[in-house]
Amino acid sequence: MTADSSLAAFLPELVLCATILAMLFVRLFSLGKYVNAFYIALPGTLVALYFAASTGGMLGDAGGAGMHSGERMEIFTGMLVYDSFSVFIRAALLLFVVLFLFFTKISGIPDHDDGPDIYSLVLGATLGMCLMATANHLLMVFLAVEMASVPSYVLAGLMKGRRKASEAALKYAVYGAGAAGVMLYGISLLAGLLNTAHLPTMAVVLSEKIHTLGASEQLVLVFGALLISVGIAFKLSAVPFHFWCPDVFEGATAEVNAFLSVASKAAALALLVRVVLGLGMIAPHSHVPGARTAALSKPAVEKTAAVFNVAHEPARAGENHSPSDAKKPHVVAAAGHDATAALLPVRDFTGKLIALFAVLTCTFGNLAAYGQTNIKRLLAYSTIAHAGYMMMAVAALIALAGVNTASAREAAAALGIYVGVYLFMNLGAFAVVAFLRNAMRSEEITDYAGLIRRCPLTVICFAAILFSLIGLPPLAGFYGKFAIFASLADGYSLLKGSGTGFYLMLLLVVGGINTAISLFYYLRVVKVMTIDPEPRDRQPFTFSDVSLAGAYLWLITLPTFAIMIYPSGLTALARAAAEHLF
Amino acid sequence: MMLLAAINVHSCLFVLFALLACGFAIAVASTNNVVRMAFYLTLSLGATSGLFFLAGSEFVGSMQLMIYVGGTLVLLIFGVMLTAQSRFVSMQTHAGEWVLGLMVGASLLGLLVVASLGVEDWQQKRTDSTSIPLLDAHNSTATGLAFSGVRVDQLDQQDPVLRAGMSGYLLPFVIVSMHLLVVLIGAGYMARTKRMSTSRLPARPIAAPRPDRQRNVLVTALVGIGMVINLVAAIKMFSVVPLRPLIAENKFGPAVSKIWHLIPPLDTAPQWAFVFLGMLFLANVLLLVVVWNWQKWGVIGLVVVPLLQAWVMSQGGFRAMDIGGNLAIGLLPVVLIIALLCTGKRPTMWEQME
Amino acid sequence: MNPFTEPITVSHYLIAGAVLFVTGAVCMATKRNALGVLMGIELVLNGANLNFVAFGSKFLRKETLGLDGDLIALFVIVLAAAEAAVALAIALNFYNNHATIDVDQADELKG
Repeated sequence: MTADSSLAAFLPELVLCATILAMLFVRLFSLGKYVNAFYIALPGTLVALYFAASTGGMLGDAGGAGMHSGERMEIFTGMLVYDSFSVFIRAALLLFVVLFLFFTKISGIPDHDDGPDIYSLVLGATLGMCLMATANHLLMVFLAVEMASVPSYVLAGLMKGRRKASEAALKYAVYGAGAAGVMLYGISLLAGLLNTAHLPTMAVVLSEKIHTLGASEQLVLVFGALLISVGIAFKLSAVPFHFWCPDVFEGATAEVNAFLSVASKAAALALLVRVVLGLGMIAPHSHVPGARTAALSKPAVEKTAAVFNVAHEPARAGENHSPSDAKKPHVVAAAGHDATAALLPVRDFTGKLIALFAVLTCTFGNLAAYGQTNIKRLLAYSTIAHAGYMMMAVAALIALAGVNTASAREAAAALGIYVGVYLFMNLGAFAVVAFLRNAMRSEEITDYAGLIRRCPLTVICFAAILFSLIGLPPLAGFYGKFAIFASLADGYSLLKGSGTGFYLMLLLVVGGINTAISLFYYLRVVKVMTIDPEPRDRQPFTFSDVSLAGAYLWLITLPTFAIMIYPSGLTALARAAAEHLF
Repeated sequence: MMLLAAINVHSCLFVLFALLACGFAIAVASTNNVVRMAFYLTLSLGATSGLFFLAGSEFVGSMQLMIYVGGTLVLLIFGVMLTAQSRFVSMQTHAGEWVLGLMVGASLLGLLVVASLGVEDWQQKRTDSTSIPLLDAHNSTATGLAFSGVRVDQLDQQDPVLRAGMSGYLLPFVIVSMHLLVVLIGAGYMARTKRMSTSRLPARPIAAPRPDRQRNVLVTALVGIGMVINLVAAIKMFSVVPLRPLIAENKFGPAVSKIWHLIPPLDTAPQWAFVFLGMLFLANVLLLVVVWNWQKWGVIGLVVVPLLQAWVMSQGGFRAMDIGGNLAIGLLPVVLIIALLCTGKRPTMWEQME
Repeated sequence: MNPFTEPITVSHYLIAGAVLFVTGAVCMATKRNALGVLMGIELVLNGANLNFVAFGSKFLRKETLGLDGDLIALFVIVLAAAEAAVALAIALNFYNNHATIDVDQADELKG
């Protein structure tokens, strides 16, 4: 296996597959029934994380000749794309799963009997999410969404004996399957109009056709894009396709909520970036798997020819290695510039669509969070609102993509930073909810009253996480929000005067107002926990700060503080991730 | 005869199957009886497979019949049978929902029809469809090869752009098997009844700790001494970095310098090693607090921390003797604490810990 | 045009697909029985599949989506089967919980 082969880039996913199989296999033996599936899932995920982070090596090119530098490489004959962005998202997903596994082990759900099933479902969904982050073909887009969704439906009904849980699972499954079906219809329209399902090829065909499109063709394009946006908006729980989110979050356990709100959302954002950039931009030059390794072992003259060979079929990869091909990229690059300019209407449309979704999602999520009495519902609306903030970054990204590459990279980096920060914040919030539920059997906010007198350290953790979710300055949330707002402002100053500049400004204003709105409902929870007196009719409970659960909370909360000491680390990673998107 | 020759059999069959498929689909939507819905759906999907055959995709058509009609729909019909209580069989839809659904549906359909009739590319007629060579027309072999990652259809594709878009389908073909496996696990999980329904959450709230727990005097002393020692060690580690240049300049006199050089690699070890060691010593202090609060995992942490320290020291280029010494000094008190916890009057402290 | 003498085009297939899609969507929106909603989803998926096959067909026009259409349609059939299996298991689980008198447990674990 060469270092830049398709399989080498796909190793994390392969390890996940092997882990699922191992969990099933161990149960075949009578002794295996005593093995907790956690101890199989954890090493598997750790190994996958190692491969995801190390095969990337995106901060340096250790392999020589740019082999590991995370440049774009289409693997499996164009089905998936491997670049630094996919490395970042997959590493974030797998890191989350590792932390999530510890979380489930401490909170005790799933128990020993259900462990293999539930962890298989979690890893299977993660596999789908990794594919979402790397999809490069419309079939893979649909397949990945299905692979991530279908196990999630079951996870929502994890507590299958409870009425609310089974109701949540049914709602999620029905709405989710419907959204996926609608998305597939949109995919069929787009693929049929452009005669290809390979995203970069679609962009090229679209750029050639775009000036000769009739009214009906435009209608089909817009309609197809809208139908696809239904599917992605559903995964992102963007308004008006958010209605499932509070119900599912209330019915499912807090553990599953953490998984759905972080992993599923991060993957959906990555998919959004992939689809929008895939259709709206001419893809940058892509390496052919194996070509770089082959070029290293060849004399220097042939090297350029092999590296720049753009043929995709393995059968043809051996041909056309004449030195004259080396000039091809420059021609392609010049043509690519014109084509990128031709795709401006596409970017304009998708950018405005995403901006509209972002404004609606953000505002609605924050306003609806006000009246909530159940902490899981409140956090569900909070995740809806945060999806809105993250979509703002995508809107800025697509608006800037053809204008200024450096600024567009900053916008993509802002998205990466927000995802990285959001991972810890939301996991922490749901961890608090789960641990308190285990202790006091309640998820009502009023039952949290006066908690500071019972477990001060936990309350401090939760308060820090909530402050971070608001985006108050020294904490991590501020850092993520600042990055997104900065890229919006940057886009406005670059595109001042045009319609695009106006809506970026609008997004910035809406984001600011929403941050102010969100202040109140987060602070209400903090107020209930600290100032309010303890209710007399509350069931007696014991929850000690000094326990494994408390230690886990501190571990998760630590990064929200740590980022103010060492902010450049995450920024550097996110910038490296964004570098090869364009 | 002229009339008969003018009839396009292909088109006639298309109209027949399309009417069947669409008609039964509308029947599915319009009936309220779930058993009839299942039956109409079977017919609609069967007629769709006829449309697939007419479009020349005989493989997809046969799969539609075998997997969809023969598998998925039978599954759905099982579901209908399992839930077929009289009150669920026929559930009336509210009139308002009907009106809304029909209005939205009709406008959606109108839009789609207008759009699909307006695209020129989709209006092309292929009059020579009877002259397509049989070899080209049947694509089952090409489909099979595409599943193994090789595309042999349209080998004469001239446009390099479109050729780049011809992907092999090996990866989805393989990965979908993983998906099916996971889905089977999930469906099995949902369908199975839980054996012990009580063991979901911890059965009862965690028992309140007994208020009369007594700490051994020796353990108390050990924990206290350990905290002091670890704190001092942590402060020393954090102070090494700023102090090192001052020692090198011999500012504190020869005596201090001599003590300082008892552990030689202090001069050469990198800064980060000291920061990490200091943090680990601080972690030890916290863990001792944890042990003091009756938590078993604190003891485990106390064992892990010296091992981590040894690893950091080995990375930082300390001498093997120092590493071993540190390990021993770190682990010995822990062993002592464990021994003390486990001995003594029953119930021992260890048994009372959480 | 006269459908009995003229050759059919992709557009005709698309209209049939659109009818399936729209009836499926209406089905999803109006049915109260969970199984009815699932049947609506099957119709939507079949409408999309009909589009894919029509776009890939050589008999309807010269420049086509090619084999991609057939292949995607095959994958959709497989994925629809998987989705139906899970959705059905969830629906039956819902049925069991809400039809059997299991109120004690449900109240105890109110969340």
